[in-house]
Formats: sequence, structure tokens, C-alpha cells
Amino acid sequence: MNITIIYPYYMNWQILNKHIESWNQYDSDSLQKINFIVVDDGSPFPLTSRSLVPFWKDLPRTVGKEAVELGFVNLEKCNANLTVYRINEDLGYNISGAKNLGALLATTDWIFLCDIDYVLPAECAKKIVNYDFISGNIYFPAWRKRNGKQATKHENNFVVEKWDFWKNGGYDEDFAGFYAYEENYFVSSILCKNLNRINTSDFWTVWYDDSILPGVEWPRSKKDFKRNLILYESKIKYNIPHSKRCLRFSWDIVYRNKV
Amino acid sequence: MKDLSIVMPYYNVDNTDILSDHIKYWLSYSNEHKSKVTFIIVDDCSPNPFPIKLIENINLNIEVYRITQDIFWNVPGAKNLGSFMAKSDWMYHSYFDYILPKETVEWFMNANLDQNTIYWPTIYTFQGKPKGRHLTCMFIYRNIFWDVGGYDEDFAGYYGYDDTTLLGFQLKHCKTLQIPQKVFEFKKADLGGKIIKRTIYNSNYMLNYSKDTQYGGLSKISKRHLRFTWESVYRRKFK
Repeated sequence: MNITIIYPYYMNWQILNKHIESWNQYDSDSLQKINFIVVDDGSPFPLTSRSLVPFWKDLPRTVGKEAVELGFVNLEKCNANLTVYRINEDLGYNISGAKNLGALLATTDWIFLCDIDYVLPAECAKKIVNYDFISGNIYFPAWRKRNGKQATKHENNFVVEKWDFWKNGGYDEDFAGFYAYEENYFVSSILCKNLNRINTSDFWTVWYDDSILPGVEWPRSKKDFKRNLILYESKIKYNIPHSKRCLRFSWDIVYRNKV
Repeated sequence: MKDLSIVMPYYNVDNTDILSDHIKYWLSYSNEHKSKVTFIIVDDCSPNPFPIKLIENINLNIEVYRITQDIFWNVPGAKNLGSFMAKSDWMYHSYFDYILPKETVEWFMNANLDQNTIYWPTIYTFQGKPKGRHLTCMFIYRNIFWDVGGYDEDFAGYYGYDDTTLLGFQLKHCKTLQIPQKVFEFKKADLGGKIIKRTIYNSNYMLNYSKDTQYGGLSKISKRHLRFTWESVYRRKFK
């Protein structure tokens, strides 16, 4: 089973490096069958094949002076099938747009949409490429903390057929620009109603929280839920239609590596 | 053997015999080739939507999408949508004006193709005379298509020049080759006279565009895609 795993990226170089470490431990069959798509959601410091990225203190969205230390991403060390795309405009929290772009550009029947702080370990990569996914189902894998403790599913991490994702309209980009609720609306309220929901522990991801780099604040750390909560409730309560206008931005290809 | 996605925009083909003829040709492909080919039809908001009943009982890989906002001559948008949905490394872009015979598909499947080359089959008229090539009736590697930015949807809404512009950018990235393999043209009259040419806007636009691109190059191509709403209509998988 070939599958595309899609991650939105916004200045998440530390975790991307963890992904690369993990991908480089995959067996050759998994590396052949998994395509990774990383969509840089308009990071102020663009993700390129060899990116120097500043660590941030607590002044999100301003660049230059506040950079106190440099991080480094070296995509050329990655052994996986990886394509990096970049959204050229920084629209704020545009997870919905980034995931839609990844889902449009995926070239496999099955896609795994995942937040970037969840890393797929080698043992689960092997399981996922041998998994018998069935059309009409949506799969929510378990996730684990780094200490190995198992947690429940995460609504924004799921495996679905590309056809089913788009048959249901994709993420509603009306939610773009602000934090959260895009998954409550599209995943919980639409996909899960129209597809068979399968929570599975057969494969899982490992969650890397912000403690991976203590003291570093994320550029988009101000998570204001209010706007999207109102939008979500309005869409549900007043039947405001699911917007099917996707890709409200320009984008480019940045990097491609093929095994 | 390679997979192939055949991307075709659709707009009001009045004569359903033409669609039936297409389907006859598609069904003439060998089973091995049928399993490798996916037909992606993008209905560009036709007043008469693509007739699904014609394809409901045929055994092919086929997907139908429909643009739900009627933007005049939105071929660039339709082909971009089809190219997003294509999963194979190679695509064949065409129109319902042209028939892709099994011999050309067979050639494609067995050919050792260069990813950096666009291959134009030779178009033959209804009477059997070779006519040259059409800029966007082409075998193209999917990555090349997106590397140059796909079709520039600034051209949508008016007829013409979308293909010329794409070609200009493609030429900067890759080679082109006209091949002797055939594609057949329908008689224009068969299509129901729905093609309306309004070239004025886009030719003026092209001048400005060319001027810009002399300085800006690829950065000037618009990479805002899918400026419309659309929906997935139908899918069937070859068994």
C-alpha cells in the first residue's frame, strides 16, 4: 500500500529534524511506499534544502533582531521520498490551506494528514504500508507520549482516501487565519459522519510537545480560539455552507527528494 | 509499464455520439493498459453537466469533477484541477475535440520517456491528413507541470493564450518533441459550435504579460490555482 503523509510546517525545524531522524530508520520497503509532503505555511524563514532558522524568544512574527541562535535543517540528509511546498503568503494559522494543498498534490490513493508534532516511528511505518485500508473508512491512529504512554486519538491526524477527502470538500478554508476548529468542523462534523470511523492502535505516532526545546516560544504561540469557535458554531447552527474554495494563496515547490 | 492520467476539460458537448465515440476508443485499449490509465474529466460548469449515465457501466478507471462556478473559458482552471487529481507520474492533457487511439497509448506504455521532455502527438484531421500538433495536447511529466506553476489562471475567463504562456515557461525548463504517434480530430461541426473565440482581452494581456516576464521570469506567473468552487462527482475503478 502506497501512502502519502502530509505535514504542515511553520518554523517547526526542531521537530522536522526529529522526523528526518525517524525516516532515516525506515526499512527500504517503507521508504519506497511512503511519500512525505511537508507544506511550509509561509514561515518567515522559509524551509529550504539547507535552512538556517533562528530560535525565537517571545516576539512572534518579527524577524531579524530577535533571532538569538540559529537552528539548522538539512533536508539533503533525508533518505525518504520527500517533497516540500511553500505557501507564499503568511495567512496566520493556515493549517486548513496547507493540508488541502498537500492533499491535492498527493499522488497516492491513501493520504495520512498529520500535525507536524506527531512523528511516525519506523515500526509503525512498516505497519502502515502493510495495512489493509478499506474504501469508505477513515482511520484515526493512536498516539503516544515520548515516555511511551499511550494516549487517545487526535482528531486532526487521520488516514483517508484522497477521493473521500475531496468528495467531502476538503478542509474549509474559511477557518484559515485563526487557530483551531477546522478539524472539529471538517473531520468531526463532515468526514466522520459520511465515512466509517475506525480508531486503531495498530499503528501510532509519537507526540513531541514544545518541551523539546524548553524556553523557546513558538512564533504563533498566541492561540486565540474565539474567532474560529464563533465560525464553527455559526456553521453548525445556521447551516452556513462548507466553503469549497480551496487554495486561497499562491504556492511553490521548494524541494524534492525521490528514493 | 507506466501509469497515465488523461486530463480532459468538458463543456457542453451537445452531440452525445462524440462522447460515445470517445468511450469506444477508450474501451478498445487492452485490459493491461486500461488498468494503468485513469481518465480525469473536469466539467467546466456546463449548463448540461457531463452525462454520467454514459460511463456508469463501463469498466475503466474514471473520475469526474465539476467546477460549480461558471467562469467563461476556464480551461486553465479545469486542467489545473485535473492535474491536481492526477496521481500518475505522467499525464496526457487533451480536449474532447481529439481522440487518443490505442496505438498511441501502447506507444506511451512501452516508450522510454525523458521526464524533461513534453511529447506532442501528431494530430490528424477527420479526413486522415496530418495537421501538426496542438500546444496542450501533450504527454507531460506531472512534476514538470507543477514546477512551472501549472496553467496561469489569470487567463481564465477569456479565450486563448493560456497554453502559449504555459509553453513559454515549459520551454525554459524542458524540451519538446513532436512525435509521429497519432491523435484524431473530430470535425469541428460535431462539437455543437460551443467554442466562442474572444481573443481581444487575452492578446492585450499577453503583451503586458510578456513584457513583465522579460524581467520577472517565472516569478511573474500567477500561482493562484483553483479560483472557483468544485466538487467530486463520480469515480469508478477498473476491475
